[in-house]
Amino acid sequence: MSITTENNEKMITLMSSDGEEFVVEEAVAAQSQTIKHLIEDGCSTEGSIPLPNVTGRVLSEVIQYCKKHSSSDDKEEKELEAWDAEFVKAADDHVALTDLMMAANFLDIKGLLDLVAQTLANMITGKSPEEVRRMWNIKNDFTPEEAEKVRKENQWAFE
Amino acid sequence: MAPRIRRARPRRRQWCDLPSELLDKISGCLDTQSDLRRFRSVCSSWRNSAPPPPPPQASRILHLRSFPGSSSSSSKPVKLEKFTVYSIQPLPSTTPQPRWMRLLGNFAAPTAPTRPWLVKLRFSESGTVSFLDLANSRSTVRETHMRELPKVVDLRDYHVREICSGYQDYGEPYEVNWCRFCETENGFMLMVVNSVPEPNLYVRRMGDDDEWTLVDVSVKGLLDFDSVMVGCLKGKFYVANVVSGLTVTVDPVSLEMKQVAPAKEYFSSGHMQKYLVASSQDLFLVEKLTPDELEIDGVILSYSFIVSKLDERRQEWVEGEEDMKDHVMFIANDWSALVPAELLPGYRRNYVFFVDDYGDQYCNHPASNFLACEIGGGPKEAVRLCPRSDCFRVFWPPPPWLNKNPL
Repeated sequence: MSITTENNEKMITLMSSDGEEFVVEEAVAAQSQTIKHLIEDGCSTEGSIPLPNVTGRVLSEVIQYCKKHSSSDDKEEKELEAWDAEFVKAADDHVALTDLMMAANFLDIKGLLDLVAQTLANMITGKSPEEVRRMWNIKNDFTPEEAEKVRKENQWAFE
Repeated sequence: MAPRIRRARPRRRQWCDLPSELLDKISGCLDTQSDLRRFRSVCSSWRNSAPPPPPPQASRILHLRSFPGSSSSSSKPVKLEKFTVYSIQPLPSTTPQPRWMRLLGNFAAPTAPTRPWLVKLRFSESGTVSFLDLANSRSTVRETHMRELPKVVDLRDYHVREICSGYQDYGEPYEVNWCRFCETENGFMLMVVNSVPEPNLYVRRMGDDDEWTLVDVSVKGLLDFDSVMVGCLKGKFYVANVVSGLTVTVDPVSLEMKQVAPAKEYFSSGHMQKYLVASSQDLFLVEKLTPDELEIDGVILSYSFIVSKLDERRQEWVEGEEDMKDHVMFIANDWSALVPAELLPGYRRNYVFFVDDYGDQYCNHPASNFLACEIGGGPKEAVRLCPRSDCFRVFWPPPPWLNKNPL
């Protein structure tokens, strides 16, 4: 399904894994290399583009990001950086950033992938492994042998 | 933008579910090796997604082959002992935070860091580590102080930064008067040897072989006088003539030599000493003027420290302390460093902590020969650091937050 708006912008419908539909300008959707290739291959003419790996909630965040980045040019770099910082902070309240990262990876949106990776890295910077496990509910799954190796690797044993 | 409605937090994806290439991307965004170490210590999928940081280099024997013009033809072993100066700080998250800041969670500004502990360490081939005295080259911390030191430091509990590294050479006397070494982060080494009949400059790639390549010194006058200084910045070597100030860069790969500052006339008195000190961005030339009489009845006389920054575009050393103001400078006999001032809370900026040449042991503390002096603005009175002073605690004793017996 391909419709055109008043200002002659081609619209694309994206369908999330949980059946939510999003109608967006083609230029916005094409921020995703994956969608761009699907459009080029003619997959969009036959109705909406299904995105089986991305939930509606996550897709809505992704579209916000793409909208902003398709309407800004390079000159506004500083402003865009500030917007990105605000965006990722707000997105953290709505979706798991790890889900957003998976979506950015699947949809192949480099800017968003880099942004989320850096944000996640900043979140664990300066934290002890134990604290990181506690905060994100990660299981310490080292075998006793591995744990011993990790311990050895991370110690200075003085003479 | 549509109004955002705060919804209940969705169940978070398990971090460990992230595929390896995405974990790898996250770990690639970590700034320091210390953070990478801790990342790899969380769980096995995180550990497997990122390569380990390189282990510290152990002391090793280098074989310096006979030098051109030397009568000797045999290869002479020189034991080069590498040491590294680290700053150790408790993790910001383990430092108590005010409640309002905790509520801001991950986006809160970090609290002021706790004062770090500086240590100078040497790693042996077997993996054991020795504490060296920060002020005295070649000496380890004395027996009497050993019991105050930890037996083991668990790197996962701290933020550990490499401040600088250097080499002490323990070579048999060979036909050279002096040797200068420096090493880039990726393992290239530069050596200037004052061999007979003339000094020579060599470059070597860190690896299994000990092949040193003789570099053709294309810039005239560089090695003419008795002494040169060497330094590294952003993967390139810098060699400066102590007397003339003539400075060149040497590319470790192409071995190309380029002049970056010309020779000038220096009114260098016998009491002036010079050092090349690098920050992460800039290279500085530090000139230290020592008074004739140093200390009378415990009062230390004035030193002058003059700092110039290398401006490669203008091809000159530009005098001025402006660029130093966010750093604290350390100059010891065999190491020097510029430490960002935010790492040293309570330290006065624009100060140099240095070891004087008349470094007799005034008291028996490790690092007890450090003096503090303001940089620039003519002669300034230097103060010998009292072992009980706050500033001295960056060296000794081991800080109270250090866990001396980790599991």
